[in-house]
Amino acid sequence: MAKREEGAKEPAAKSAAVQKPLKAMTPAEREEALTRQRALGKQLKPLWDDIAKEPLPDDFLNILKDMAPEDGEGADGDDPTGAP
Amino acid sequence: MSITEEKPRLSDADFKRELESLIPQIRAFARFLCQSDRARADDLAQEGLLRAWQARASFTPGTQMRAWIFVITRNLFYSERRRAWRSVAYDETAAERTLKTEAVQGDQMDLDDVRRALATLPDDQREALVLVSAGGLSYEEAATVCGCAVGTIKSRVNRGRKALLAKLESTGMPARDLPADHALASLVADAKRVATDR
Repeated sequence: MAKREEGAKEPAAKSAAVQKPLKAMTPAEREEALTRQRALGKQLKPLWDDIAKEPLPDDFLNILKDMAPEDGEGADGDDPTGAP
Repeated sequence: MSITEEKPRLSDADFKRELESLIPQIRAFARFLCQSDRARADDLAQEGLLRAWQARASFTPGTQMRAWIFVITRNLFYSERRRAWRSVAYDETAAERTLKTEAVQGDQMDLDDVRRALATLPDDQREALVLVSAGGLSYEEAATVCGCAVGTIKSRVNRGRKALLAKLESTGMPARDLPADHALASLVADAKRVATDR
């Protein structure tokens, strides 16, 4: 078990997740850090899903209407990524 | 196989159907890129859609259309940002100020807390974290979108998570709401992921 440096500020348990590299953590700290990081990742999903569930604005529907299939024609094959 | 053989392609109708199904995802990605500027994000998403449609002949069926159009959208975003850097330059001081002044009391992180903290991350970490953790893209897809190696994406996701936690904790928002069910179940998988980062 790693001994805390004398005079060092008492670290809150939550801080291990952000203050130490995983390799320097005790197994318990590592477990907690990974759990926190993973849980945080799960918090991000609703941010995306909320946007994806929004009703589609008319502008998008109009663009789709204008996309007339013309197989064999009209598709220019330029580099679509516009990579600079 | 003859080298003159034509590249297979989706019919326009199929391409359009697939593109349409991806619009919510494109909007979400654009919103993150534009840091919640809804109007600008929708403009970007529409431009991405149009570009993709115009260049549909270059899409290879069987590959990930989502990653393909995200690349288009991302490149449009950064090209535009380079052109108008004054109006969209990242303002770390302002982001920090917002984060601190709007911090809520109590233990529970809510989505606004996370959103604000996310805005303070460096572009590369935010992008990787958003694509993988929010958008659900695989590491491989995210690497394609960002034009980097899979290992780089893993590393950015890992650093992004740590940085986000640090931001939240530094403003008194401890990440305590850890649902026990997924936390333990995901632990092994996470440990493996992190191990491969090194």
